[in-house]
Amino acid sequence: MPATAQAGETIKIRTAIQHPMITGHTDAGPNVAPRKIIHTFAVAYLDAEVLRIDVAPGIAANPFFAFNLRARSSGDVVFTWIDDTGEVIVETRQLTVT
Amino acid sequence: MPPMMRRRSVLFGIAASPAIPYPSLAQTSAPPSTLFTVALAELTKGREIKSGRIRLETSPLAESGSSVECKITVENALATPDQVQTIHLLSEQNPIPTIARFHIAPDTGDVVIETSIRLRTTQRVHAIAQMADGALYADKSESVVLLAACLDAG
Repeated sequence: MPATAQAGETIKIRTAIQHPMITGHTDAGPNVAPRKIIHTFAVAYLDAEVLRIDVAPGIAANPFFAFNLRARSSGDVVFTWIDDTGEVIVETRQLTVT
Repeated sequence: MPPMMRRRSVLFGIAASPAIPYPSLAQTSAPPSTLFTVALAELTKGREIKSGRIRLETSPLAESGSSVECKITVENALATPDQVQTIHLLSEQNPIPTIARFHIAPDTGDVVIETSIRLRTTQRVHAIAQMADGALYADKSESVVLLAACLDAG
């Protein structure tokens, strides 16, 4: 994502995370093996949630999401990924709005 | 139907090359699975689905179903009572119909979301947008998949 933007401007944010997204589907059938996927991806800006994605095994490995965000004022954009094992990964980026 | 014509020409183009084994020329989508039909009915709860406002684009021809490009666009005026709330991405042929649900905060403007999805086989994918006033808008896109996805280690 860009580090700076003008107030009111729509910026494009691209996110990717390394994760195998194990579906639990095998030749024996769907949901027969343990599943391990990222099930939630959330984005907060200026302490308010702007996007939350309920992720199912139908999302490809190493989940990639790109989306728009409208710049309002300077602050943090916080990205959170949660997987089936309960692991939470948080990344924060500063957006400076001029 | 011009898009269909284009897809056909792509198919025959590949089939004509002797180096690439091609699974079947009759690679049109099968009828939607029961799982999909049930998931769609649970989502709509009898409401009418309109076209317009939302656009779904998936790769027309995917070499592998493990990662298929997918783009959702929703026209979404700011701070109107009918702005988009949730977008459901549904597959007609995957073992689990729901691929993802996108919850969008109000007052965020036009929505453009890109991601990569898994497709078990050649099929149509649907994006259904639920607006704050309860209205549903949908679009669908068909992808021809040469190699299946969804199975682990596949």
